[in-house]
Amino acid sequence: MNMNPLLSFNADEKSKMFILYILTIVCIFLEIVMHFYLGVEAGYTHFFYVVLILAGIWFQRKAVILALCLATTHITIGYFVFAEALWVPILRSAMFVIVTLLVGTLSEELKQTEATVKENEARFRAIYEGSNDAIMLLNEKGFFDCNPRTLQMFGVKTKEDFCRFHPADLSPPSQPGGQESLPAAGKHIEAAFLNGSSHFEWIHRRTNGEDFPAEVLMSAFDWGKERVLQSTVRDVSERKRAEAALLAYISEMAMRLKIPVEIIRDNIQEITDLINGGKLTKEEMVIMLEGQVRNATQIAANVQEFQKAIAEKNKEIPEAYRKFLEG
Amino acid sequence: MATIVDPEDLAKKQIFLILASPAKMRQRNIELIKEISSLGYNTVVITTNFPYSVLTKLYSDSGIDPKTVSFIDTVTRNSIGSAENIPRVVRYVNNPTNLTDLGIAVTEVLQENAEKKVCILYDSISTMLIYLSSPNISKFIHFVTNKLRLMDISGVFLAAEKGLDPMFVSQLTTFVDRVIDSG
Repeated sequence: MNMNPLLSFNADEKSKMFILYILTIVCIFLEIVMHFYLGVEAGYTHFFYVVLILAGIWFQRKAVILALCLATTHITIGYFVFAEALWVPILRSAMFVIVTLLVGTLSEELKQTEATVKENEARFRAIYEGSNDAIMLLNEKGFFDCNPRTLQMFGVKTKEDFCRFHPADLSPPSQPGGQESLPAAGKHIEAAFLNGSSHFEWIHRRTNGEDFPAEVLMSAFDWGKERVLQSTVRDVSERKRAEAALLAYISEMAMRLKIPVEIIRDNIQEITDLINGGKLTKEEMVIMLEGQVRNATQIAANVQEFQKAIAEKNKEIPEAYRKFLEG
Repeated sequence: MATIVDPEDLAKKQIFLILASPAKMRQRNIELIKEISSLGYNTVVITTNFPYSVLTKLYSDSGIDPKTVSFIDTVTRNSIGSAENIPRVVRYVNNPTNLTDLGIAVTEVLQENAEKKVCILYDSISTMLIYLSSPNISKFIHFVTNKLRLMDISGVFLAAEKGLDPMFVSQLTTFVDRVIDSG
């Protein structure tokens, strides 16, 4: 974004220097002809401001050097022509330096601001373009911009193609709760415009027909005179798979702990009854009790195996929990 | 007296999944053998919990003729290391996790009893959970039920009624003809 057209002058440093060089010669020429020969004290010096302002814009406070040169020339010639009224060229020369310093300082600040703006713009663009989340902008008419990840996530070739879709077009006909996607999407968009934001889970559909679970965050903000929504869509397929695996793990774990422990309990009770009834030989007692010890040992081994398996298979498990699972 | 398994279904060579409360598993086992034996079947008991020698005593005490029952025992060798097979009475498998050996034993025992009216009693799916994951048990039960259907033999699978994952139960249900909750 250009803050000042002059700052983005296309000429390079050398051509700027060359222009200033020519203009300075013109100034000196004016000084000699108008001041020295013709005795004109003022008027022509307005041209000096053109050179000094230009120098101030291009070279910031370094332009003061040029201002001092022109001021010295002006005072020197004034000294020879109007020796008795030297304070006038001195005052005028002081104005040269002050104006140049002012313009140079302003230009420097402007340049810094421009650099900051450019840096911020580059940073935000990098975040927008490089985000792993799909980020899209929409107004009340529909989508009008999106980042590259959006195209990748939904399998759309161009932004223009993407902007033709309604959010409901990128969803299956209905959501898991049974609600139809079109009115449900409309409600979320309306809520985001009304409340400033809306956060919800959604099943999206890629253009190849593949559905995927997503987390959607819609934030409303003013863009110029228009109220727009930034919609951030995060594909949470991996996380959902990990959750399902974790659920399956817990279910299997519960089943393979509760039932075997109950079996061991009942077996021991039964063995006790058989011993009390005098129905077991010593060898049979050993076999049966060893069997229960082996069962219990196997249960402990199963727990360890489960822990390792779940830690290896699910990348989304927090590190602390992973360490716990790995024993 | 009401029976757990309908004799007509048994005659049709159907395969059953019998759910019982964990505390009544042994009792159900004995009741089933009694029922099956009374119908003139020879029962092949695949035991994963109690050894053959103890089960024989329990059956005898309950009035079951030991000659009508033969065993595939996965417990004894696992505990004492070695035990000799007794033809037509008991065949030992080293370890209940060794499904290959168990599968071979089932096949051979069924072939040995090919001329008889045979019913297999698997006691129990729940105990297998100590040694195998539910997907592996499902695969094995699928293998055994296929074998039974090919050989036209009826079978009974015992399992604890509570605590099983509904997904696992629903998978087992697809392998059998009837599911009976015996309480």
